[in-house]
Amino acid sequence: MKNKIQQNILHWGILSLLLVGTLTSCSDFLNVNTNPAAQKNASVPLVLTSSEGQLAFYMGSDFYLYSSIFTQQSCGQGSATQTRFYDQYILTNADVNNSFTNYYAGVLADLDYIKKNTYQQGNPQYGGIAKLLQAYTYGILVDMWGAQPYTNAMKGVANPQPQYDSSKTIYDSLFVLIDKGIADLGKTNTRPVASEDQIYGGNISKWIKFGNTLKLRLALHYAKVDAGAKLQSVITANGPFMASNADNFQMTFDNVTNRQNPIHQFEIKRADYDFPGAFMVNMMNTKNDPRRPFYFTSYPAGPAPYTTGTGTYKGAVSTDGVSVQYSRIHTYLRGAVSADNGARSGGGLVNSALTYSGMAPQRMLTFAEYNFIMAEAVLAYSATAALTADQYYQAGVTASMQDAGVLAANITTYTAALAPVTLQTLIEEKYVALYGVPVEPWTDWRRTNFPSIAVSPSAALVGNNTIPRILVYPLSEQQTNANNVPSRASIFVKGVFWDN
Amino acid sequence: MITQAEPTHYKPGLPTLTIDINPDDIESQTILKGPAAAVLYGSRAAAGAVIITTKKGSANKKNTIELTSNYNVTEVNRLPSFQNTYAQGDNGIYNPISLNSWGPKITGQDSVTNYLGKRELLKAYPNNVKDIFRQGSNTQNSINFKGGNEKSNYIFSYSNLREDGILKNNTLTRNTFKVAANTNLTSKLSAGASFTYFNTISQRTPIGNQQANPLFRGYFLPRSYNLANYPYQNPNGTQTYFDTSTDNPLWTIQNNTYNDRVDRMLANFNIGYDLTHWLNINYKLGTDAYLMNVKAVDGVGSTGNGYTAAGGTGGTQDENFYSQQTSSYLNITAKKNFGDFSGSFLVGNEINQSFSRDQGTVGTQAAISGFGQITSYSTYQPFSSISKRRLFGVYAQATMGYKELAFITITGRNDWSSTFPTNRNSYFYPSITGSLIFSDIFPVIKSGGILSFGKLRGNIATVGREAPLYATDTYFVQSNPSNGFGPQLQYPFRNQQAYTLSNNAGNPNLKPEFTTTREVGTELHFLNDRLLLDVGYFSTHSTDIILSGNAPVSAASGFSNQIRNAGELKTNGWEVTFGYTPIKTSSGFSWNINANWTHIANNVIKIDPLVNSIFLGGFTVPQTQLQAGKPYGVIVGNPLNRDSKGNLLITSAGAGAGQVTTNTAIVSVIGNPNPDWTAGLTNTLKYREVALSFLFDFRKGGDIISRNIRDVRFRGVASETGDRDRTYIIKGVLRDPVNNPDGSARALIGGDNNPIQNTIAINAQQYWTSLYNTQGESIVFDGSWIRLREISVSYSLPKKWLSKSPFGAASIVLTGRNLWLYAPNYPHFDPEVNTQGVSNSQGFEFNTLPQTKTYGVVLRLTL
Repeated sequence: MKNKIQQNILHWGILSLLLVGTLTSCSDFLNVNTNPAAQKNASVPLVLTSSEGQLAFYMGSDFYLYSSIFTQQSCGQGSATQTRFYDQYILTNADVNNSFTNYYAGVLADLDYIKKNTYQQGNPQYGGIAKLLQAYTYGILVDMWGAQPYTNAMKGVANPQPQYDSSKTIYDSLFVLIDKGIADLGKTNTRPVASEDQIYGGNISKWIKFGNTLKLRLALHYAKVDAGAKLQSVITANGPFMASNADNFQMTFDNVTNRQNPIHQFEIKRADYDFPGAFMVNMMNTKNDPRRPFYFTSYPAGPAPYTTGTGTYKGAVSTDGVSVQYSRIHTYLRGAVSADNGARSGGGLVNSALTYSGMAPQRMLTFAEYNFIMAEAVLAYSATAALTADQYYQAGVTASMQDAGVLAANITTYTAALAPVTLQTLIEEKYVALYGVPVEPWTDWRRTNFPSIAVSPSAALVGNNTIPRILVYPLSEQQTNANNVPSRASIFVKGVFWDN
Repeated sequence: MITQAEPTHYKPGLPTLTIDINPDDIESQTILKGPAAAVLYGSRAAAGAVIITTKKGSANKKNTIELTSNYNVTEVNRLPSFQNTYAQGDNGIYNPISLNSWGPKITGQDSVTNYLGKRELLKAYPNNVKDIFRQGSNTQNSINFKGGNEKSNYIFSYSNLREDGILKNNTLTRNTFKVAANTNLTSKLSAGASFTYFNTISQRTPIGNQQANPLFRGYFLPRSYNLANYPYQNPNGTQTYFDTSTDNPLWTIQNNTYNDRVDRMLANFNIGYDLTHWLNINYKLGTDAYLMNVKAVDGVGSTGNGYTAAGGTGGTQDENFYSQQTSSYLNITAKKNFGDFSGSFLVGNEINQSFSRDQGTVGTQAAISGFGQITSYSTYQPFSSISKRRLFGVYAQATMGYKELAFITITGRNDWSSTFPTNRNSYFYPSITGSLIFSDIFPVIKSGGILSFGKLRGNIATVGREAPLYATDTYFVQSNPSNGFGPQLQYPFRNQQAYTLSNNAGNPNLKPEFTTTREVGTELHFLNDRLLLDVGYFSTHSTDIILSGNAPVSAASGFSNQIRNAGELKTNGWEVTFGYTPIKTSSGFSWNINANWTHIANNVIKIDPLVNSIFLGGFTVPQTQLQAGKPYGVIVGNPLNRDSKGNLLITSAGAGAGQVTTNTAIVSVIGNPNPDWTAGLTNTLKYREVALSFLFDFRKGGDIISRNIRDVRFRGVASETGDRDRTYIIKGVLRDPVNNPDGSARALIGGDNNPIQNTIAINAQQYWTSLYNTQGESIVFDGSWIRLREISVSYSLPKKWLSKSPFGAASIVLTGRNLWLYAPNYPHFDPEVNTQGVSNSQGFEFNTLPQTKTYGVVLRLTL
């Protein structure tokens, strides 16, 4: 009996020890909730690469499609494809969710992290770059949506429902932000900006030229409400501004899968969804524009191997039935051609006929645009500047043609034939020169009513009889920020201060 | 049953334990509803658990051999009813590359040019969609040996399963070996072990919302498209198809392949010791580990993102996924009777760890077309992740009984989970359960001769649930911008790596989610147990719900999501089971009816005050959401433009006159996917060794968004769209070409100050394409159904015939499943398809594989 009791005590003793032992080491045992495959902190250069890559990629994604289709540089094809819906002016609050998220939680969140972490590390130039990229991004968001969260944005979960600022307030702040960014760029870095900057490769003077040219662009928009006062003051401050195509604000892409220009990738992954629009192609045909062999494949395409084709070009109209009997987007937006497999369908190229490098840059603000801004400043706002409106106008066309690869002699022929500039011809040339630049052609149309596009016939077919002027606010904002997001009935209303 | 999301750290799409288990090795299967299961199985069983007991040898049984053989044929159970009168094209004009069948009437036009540029006779191909599929089959053979003596028992089993799917190149082979043995080492000490090895090899075709899915646009093939006889590939192996932005269904089945091999091991060991006759200590240690090797290949020229997003350059994904779940249980049980009273008390501890490691490489830009070996590509993208989660729990359970007539059980459990911050990772949850056989306590009730048995039961149980892995911190992740169309930017890019702040904010304040269930029920037997009735009512109340995905925040904050305790959910429901044996004769004939009926109301009481709705599933529109005050998972989408009185607004002038338009600026609730009730009715007729059984399933209500029905109507292939010799007028009022000052649409007001009724006649193409152009309210359908879920006839050889043979038992069963379906408001497809898979979000149907019907035979022999 005694033995039995002793035995029981022993059993219970071992058991309690086991339990107590496990309990005391419990907090270590359970301390495993840190993801070994992710970082809690990241170095500023790695995040700069991310923010630049995201900005260029997203610009060449949805915003490019919206603005190029609304302005009829492009035409949606296929049946019930998303691009055809855009042509019908059916663009829903849910469609624009991703863009809003990508720019704010993607691009701007990374830029904000750079700004918060780079100064105490003795690297103010990263902060300067981040400020210019922020100014560019917010400028685009305002042009697309009007009022946006700005002052109260980027506060993390401390302010999950940021209030909106009016579009004009944000524009006013952006001029200040650009000036601060340019000032930061004038300081010195402990660690010089280098190849992690995939836009300018650490060339600080190019960043400064970009910052000043961006101010010009915003001031041109602003001129609709201040009669060009800001525009004049930016011109008078005299930059430095972009001085050649080498200063273009653009991202170069690579000839490697999933690292190619996003417009090119769209052509591959959504074959036959998007063709050059008849409105722009016809405009260029009328003027015998020498950029066409770079912008478009010819139609009929001619036999393989494709070089410059037959020299005639045809764009798509949005009410056409499904067809590939058109010119296609070509090297200017897709990179060099390396092969032609000979696949033809009637006079059209089969989508996979030509192999492109995909290395075309994603252009976001170019030297050509700088010249057109200056031309308009002189022409429409009587700004005082170094050259005349016609000289800037010609310089803009020349820069665009040089960027496309047009022979010098052909450029001279074309520019020599240009009539004295008017606002209409200026915007028409700018519209052609800004092929592939997202958003700005739509902004120009909303500011000036040029080029004179008519309602897309496929939109009329579904009862939409006016051209879009603004995006609706995203469904995600209606769901998460309902108290702050402004109401907007449709994409057909005016929504940004300079669209008056 | 509470619908709760799968914890996100369980990798979706992987075989689960229940899928792997050899069905012939299942001894019993118990479904534990709601949190009642939680004290022994922890918060992983918060949504209930299926406890499967596999077969064991049993003591003092002679050695037996059991052989089972099962063969089934599977076929698509429902395909759309097509029009075969009008050809490919639009506006009555033939177009060989159109996705639509709004072309000319097929009248024997003998020379149209097809998409290959060849002249052909225009014909309809009524079976062109059916031609994508084949007849499938599955065969399973199992054998087990078992036996035992007074001290030990054993079982050994082997089974082989071979499945051929309804798509070519879709196969699955599984071999399962199991050994298990238990022994009493001494009169007090017993030990047992079991070991199971599964080997599964399968091959599949890409599915999902992408162009490599053979059904991405496969259900609406143009009626005049000759799928079976046109070539699907060129001599160089690339595909040929009329639709350049989708893969040819036959080509993708042939060239985009997914192969995996899963090696899985289940090992358990247990030891028990009786300290005294009333006190037992038991320890169990088990592990469930598997390694999955995946090789997924995208053929050169595939248009879809497929597995590798190769953009047509060809790609292979080679992946090794290893997962291991290890659990340890220590239980001490005391049992003692005191006269008519019995008591038992259990204390225990559970330690659980899950670990997984996923490593792989994606190769793109094939150097050798059609090869697929991972080393034969020009570009590589590796990926790697590791996850680890741990849980420590202690629990106790006390049960008191009186004469097997009344029981009361009280439990309590405290868990510590690694998914919460270490200083607040502890949470407790209790339960109480009681039952009373009142008919035996008060025998007077039975004396009337009507009621033969009566039992009351009730319980209240709470369970705490842990958070998803790694949700407490915010991380930087490798940057990888992408858009909805397939393009993306991967790093390293131009020799630079890039990291981005995650869109998901960590939450150091996460708390466990608690669900409390209250349940009362009664089980009544009448007329000497010929009539059985079981009625149960339950309610559940979940607080601090942690969503499977994340809870959204405004992206302007810098984050788009945060894992939060984001809501409160209430469910209540009735479950009624009814059994009746109208006939039971001494000659061996019986007829048994079993019916059950369930009504569940799922209501979202409140959600996170930061948001007015939470995304559950679907597309961006339509989507299913949580909205406070609404049923669970309501369907939300863009509504059609209506006037203030709710009349449809019809475009009054211009090219779109007579048609509807969609309001793209807002969304509204357009459907409720929760059924009003579901029911089942089984009839079993037996005569001696022959039995016939059939089960009907009923579902009343439950809305479904059907992209497929939309597609077959919008594309002009559904039979009803063939009615084209007439005009259509959409009921509604004319829309004012001028909008309200705020930009919203309004009705045109006539001379009588009333809206003007629409009288504009449109043609069939305009009618169907207008209603189904956007995917909003017109594509919500009522998913009610009645179906013959199962019918079976079985025959067992009479014992007296077998007595002289070596066989102990022999039987044959013929079965049919899903043979008949009636869905009055859901045309063309089976409403049971759920694109969302096993998740919380219901009510979507979009280009999934069709449901099947099966016919089969089972043979069972015991030696």
